[in-house]
Amino acid sequence: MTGRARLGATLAVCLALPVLAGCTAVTGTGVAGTAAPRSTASATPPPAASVPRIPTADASLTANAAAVVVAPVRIQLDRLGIDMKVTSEGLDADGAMALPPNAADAGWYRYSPGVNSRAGATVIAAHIDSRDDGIGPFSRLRNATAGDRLTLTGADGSTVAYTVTELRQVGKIDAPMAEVFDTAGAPRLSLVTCGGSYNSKTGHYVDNVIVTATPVAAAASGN
Amino acid sequence: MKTRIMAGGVAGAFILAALAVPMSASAATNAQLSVLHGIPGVTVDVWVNGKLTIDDFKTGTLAGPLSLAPATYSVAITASDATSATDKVVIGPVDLPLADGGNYTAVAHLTTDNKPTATLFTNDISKTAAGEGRLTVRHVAAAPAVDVLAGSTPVIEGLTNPKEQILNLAPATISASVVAAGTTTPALIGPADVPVVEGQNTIVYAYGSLEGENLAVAVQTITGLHTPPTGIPAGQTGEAARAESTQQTQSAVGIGALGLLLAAAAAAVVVVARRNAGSRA
Repeated sequence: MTGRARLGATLAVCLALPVLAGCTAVTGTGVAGTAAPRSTASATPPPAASVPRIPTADASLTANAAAVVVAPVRIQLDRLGIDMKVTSEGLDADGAMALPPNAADAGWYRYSPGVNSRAGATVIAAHIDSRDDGIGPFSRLRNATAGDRLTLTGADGSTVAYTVTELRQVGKIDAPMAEVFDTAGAPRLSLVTCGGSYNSKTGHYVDNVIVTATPVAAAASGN
Repeated sequence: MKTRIMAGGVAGAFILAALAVPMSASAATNAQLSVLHGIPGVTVDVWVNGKLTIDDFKTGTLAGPLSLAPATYSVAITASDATSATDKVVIGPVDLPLADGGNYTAVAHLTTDNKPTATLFTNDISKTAAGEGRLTVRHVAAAPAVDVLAGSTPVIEGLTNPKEQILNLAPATISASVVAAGTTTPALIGPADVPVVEGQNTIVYAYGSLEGENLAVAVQTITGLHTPPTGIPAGQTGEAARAESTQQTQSAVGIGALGLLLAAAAAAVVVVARRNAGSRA
């Protein structure tokens, strides 16, 4: 909420600036000082838009190589008896996230951040139950509580420890996919399965169970 | 305190907006302008509206993005030792009309016949489809029409200076080569690994001069165009839901039995109490 309020306030300043400056162009990057509006009353209208200096960067291919993404291959959450292989998954024919057929295995959305990523949500999901092998370990995700520790192992053998911060059960119609798959913001983990009642007519569960976890190191450095 | 100042700012903006400008102006979003230097062998200065904005700008570098209120900006490119926007001019001044919320790259480059020029490109910042990335290829080199090969397959054909072509693709690293249109060898540029990343527009510029033997590639990336999957259908049989409801029924039965026991115990206590009371009376 505070983040949003602050954004709104920044926008308000942005809105105020061009007006006060006599409707000439004013850059958004010049917003920093709240003093800006004060300086304008007596100012003669500038002849043209003001432009701050801008940084430059090497545009070569080598300087802009795609970041190496380390795929998670195993997830363990000991308290809930979860220890699963993680496979790399894309989209199904309907544009939803594809999952491994076995409920015993979890899928990592391969376009989400990998292990050790610097930003955004790494997404791992698994069937709560499947035709192939019945009820899976992610059926116990709904018993997760804040503070539960879990570990992801990357394809390169690296491990990252996470702490569960939130458990939510949301109707699929309202399920916040943009949030679950957010590629920006602090690094975190979105664990997803189904929950709630099962609609035998549609063959789908009504809800998604969503667990959010944050890297232990990041949480520690935040203090 | 902060909140109050900001609230004042908002109110002030609206009042002044009403007095001074059409309402639409208050909804303006800044435009984003990047600048690419694609003329080999010359370091330049870039002047925007007469002010030095990029000093000692080197070939193959990208500046920005600069966040600018929508307006038309006058841009001049001069030698790096120029003393003003009108001294030792290499290109311009040119007018760059930047629209509300637009995303642009101004490129200083060579024409097909080796003369310095500037082109304003509008970058495609529409959302990419879930699971896709975008590749934009721009021909800003002193060279005739080209094809772009991915591996040995032409994916762009007959691209001419200063045109672009946009492809929406599954994310992958593409081994890309630029060849003369209608040929597959020799490669004028590359092969080079070009990353196509989900939710990102990778903009590749072929710049330099064929005759000058300094053709090269520059890259610009625009992130944040990602679209999430439509959902996560993560259950197939309902077995887990049935197991859960069975468990709940069992617990409910358990609680019922316990309740009966407690009720019986309470009744016993009452009976004992009454007996005691009776004996006292």
